[in-house]
Amino acid sequence: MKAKRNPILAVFLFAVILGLMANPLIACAAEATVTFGSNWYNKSSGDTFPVGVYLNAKTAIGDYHIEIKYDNLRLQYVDGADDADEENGILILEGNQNNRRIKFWLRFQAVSGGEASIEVSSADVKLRNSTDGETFTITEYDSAPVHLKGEDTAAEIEARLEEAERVLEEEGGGSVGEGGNTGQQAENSTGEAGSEGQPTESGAEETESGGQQTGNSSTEGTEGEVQQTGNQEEEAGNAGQQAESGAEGVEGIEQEEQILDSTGEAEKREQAAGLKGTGKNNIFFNVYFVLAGIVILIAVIIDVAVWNILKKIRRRKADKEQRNSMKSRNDSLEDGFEFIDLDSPEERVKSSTPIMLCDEELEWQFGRPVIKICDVTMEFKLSSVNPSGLKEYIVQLIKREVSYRKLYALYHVSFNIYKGEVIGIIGTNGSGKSTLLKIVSGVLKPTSGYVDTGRRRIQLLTLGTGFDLELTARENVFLNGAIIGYRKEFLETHYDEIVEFAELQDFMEEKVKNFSSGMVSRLGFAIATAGDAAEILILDEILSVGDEFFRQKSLKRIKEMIHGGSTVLMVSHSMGTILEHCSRCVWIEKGELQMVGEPRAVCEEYRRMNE
Amino acid sequence: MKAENRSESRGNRRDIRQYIFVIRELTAREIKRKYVGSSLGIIWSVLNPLLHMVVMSLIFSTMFRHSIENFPIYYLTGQIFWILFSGATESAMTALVDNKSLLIKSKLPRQTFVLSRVYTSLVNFGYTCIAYVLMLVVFQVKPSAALLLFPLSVIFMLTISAGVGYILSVIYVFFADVKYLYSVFLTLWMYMSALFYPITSLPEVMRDFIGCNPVYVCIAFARECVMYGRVPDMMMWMKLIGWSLGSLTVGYHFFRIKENQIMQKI
Repeated sequence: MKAKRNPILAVFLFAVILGLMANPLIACAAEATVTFGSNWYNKSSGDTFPVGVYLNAKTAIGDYHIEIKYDNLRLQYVDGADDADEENGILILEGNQNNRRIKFWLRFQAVSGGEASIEVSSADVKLRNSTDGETFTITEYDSAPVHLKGEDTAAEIEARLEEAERVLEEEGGGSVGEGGNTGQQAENSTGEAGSEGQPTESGAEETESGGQQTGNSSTEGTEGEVQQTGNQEEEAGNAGQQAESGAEGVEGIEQEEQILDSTGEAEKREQAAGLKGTGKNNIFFNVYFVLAGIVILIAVIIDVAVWNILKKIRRRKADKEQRNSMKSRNDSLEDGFEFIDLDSPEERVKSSTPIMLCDEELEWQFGRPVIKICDVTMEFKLSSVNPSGLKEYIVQLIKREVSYRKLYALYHVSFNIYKGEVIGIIGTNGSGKSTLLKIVSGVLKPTSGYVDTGRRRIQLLTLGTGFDLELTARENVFLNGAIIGYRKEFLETHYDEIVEFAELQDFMEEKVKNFSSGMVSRLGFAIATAGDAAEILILDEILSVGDEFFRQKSLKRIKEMIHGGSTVLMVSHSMGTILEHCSRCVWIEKGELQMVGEPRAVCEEYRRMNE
Repeated sequence: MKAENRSESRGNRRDIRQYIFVIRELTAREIKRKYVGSSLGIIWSVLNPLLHMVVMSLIFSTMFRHSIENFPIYYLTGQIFWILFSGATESAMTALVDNKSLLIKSKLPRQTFVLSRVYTSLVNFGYTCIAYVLMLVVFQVKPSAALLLFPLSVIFMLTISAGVGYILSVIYVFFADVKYLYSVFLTLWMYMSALFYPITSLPEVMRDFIGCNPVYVCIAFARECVMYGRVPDMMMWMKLIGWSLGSLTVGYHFFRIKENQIMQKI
């Protein structure tokens, strides 16, 4: 028993430890964090999508000030935070709340394809419970790259802005010639991007396209930069349109100046890439968790398997011991007899109980018993007052009125049944016949003693059970067959046979609730006896129903089965049936075995007692 | 000895196949019975959660506009898991008593009947998933690799329900009032599972409490996988594994211990 509980305990402990381990994990977070709802966003151009921004702190947050920077070339802020200031791609969220967690539901519209990003550029939080009123600045900023499907119309604006910036810078340097060069560079990069041969306009100067060589030769110190610009344009990959938007670029120096800060794009992109990397790390981290989980699962499965094997071994050992003890008891009995009388069998009849002798004789005749019922006692606990509800139950429990009465349905019953026998069981109502059948069929476990049937197939056939009235007869054949223990293939091949035997060909699609009780029992009998595999057939009052013709038919079927090697146990109140079919008869009265033997003799005794 | 062992193990395997067949037959019966008389039948398994979703979305989506992204999917994820759990446990509870006549007749392990009810719920869940997938497409939830973890959350939910179902089915045999108590308890449990509100809108104590609720954790797990495309964090894994193993072992052993008493009572 102790060993049996161990694995449960182990699993329990394991669960508890898991729970304990899980708890401290919550605590280890930073003082406060600002995070996005997702590691990255995949959207397409024209979409309006929400971005969750979460401000978490260990304790309640008071004043807060968060700046969120986004790519305003590709994204347009729609709405979300009620009091957000929005300007130049920076969104300022400010306020005062009393909450551990503050969230903003910002909605953005994607105006272009390409790669954009949203990031927290600064965040200050004043925690409510900090006594000195110090402002806590969050240093670790979250950011989320946004992948936008669709044409990247912003890329060339971006590139142009960079160009314009450089122009401005160089103009600031005061060198006019270089300014010209820059114009050519822009041209040059466009050319590289693939629109060779098409005339393009750019900057203040008009030059022919294909000026690669010019660009290369004319620039001295800025060659590296040219290359870079070219690459960027290539990435964008929209050379044809760039030619057009070049013109736009000319007019829009002011605009260019406005959006100058967006030239940090490359840097941002790098950042985004880096962040993607950390995102991946997170996933890897989680993969370890998954692996750990799987390992734990496997360990538990192995644990259970080992436990089962141990149990099986133990059970086998116990069986063997029991068998040995039985054997030794028999031996000692025989020894006893030998001691009393060695040669006269008549004496043995007198000194031993008739049942034991009978068994020994039969064993000698038929070999090992098919069913060995050994000292079976079945005890039912009946509560003297049956509480009908929780309230009453508790009341009675407190008053200590719930006492149990023991009822022995069977009391130390033992006899053996041998192959090919038809055993009839008789007794008055409530004498324990059905309980005995249930124990033999394995539905009930006896309180003490055991029934050994080996691994034989047993069928318990009782009237009207196991049918679902709402289902059709056909469905019931499969349901009932499955429960009795037939395989699916078997049922499919024997279906017609079953129907034919039950003579219900026209009713198989009918619901069973419309059947007469005779039809139901016919179907039940047909299913139960369909297989020739049943080695032990237990009939509980089954032969007393149905019309005369069907009874003849079922008797014939049972005789066939006995002929085929089945052993039959039947309960009947009809003496005629018992006398007609049984080879041996068992009489049980009030749970105790009264007589086993020749049906005629047993029935006579039984009658006499009841008179 | 060895040959005997082998034949025994083969016998066991055949037994298990037989049990699976029985479970499937019982399940087929349950489903046929459940929709007996209705003209749409099993389609209700698809329609029912959808209609619920529409109603709940109408009522609550404006309320939680700022805190829940994609409210219909948020609710539907919770709802289908809730139906799986409540359906499985509630029907498993009466499994033994309903199948009294079959129980007496057969030598099958009694667990079969409880498991068949849980399996019935799973089949129902399968049909519901049609609606769910449909809604995922309609609301443009982007599939991600984390979606592959979704079946795991279903398995966790099933093991938890099976464990609870075992215990309830035993209690129901001895104490039929548990049916009414449990239905009230289920209502409480449902509100504790954050089906239609964000858990962040609760005070902290409640949040920690609900964090321990296996049904909520399971739903949150599924939401992480499906809606946000994230692999759920370590905490959820541990909680779920702990809960499902714990409930299954406790339920199973409770059932085993009480098994003979059940048969006597029935």
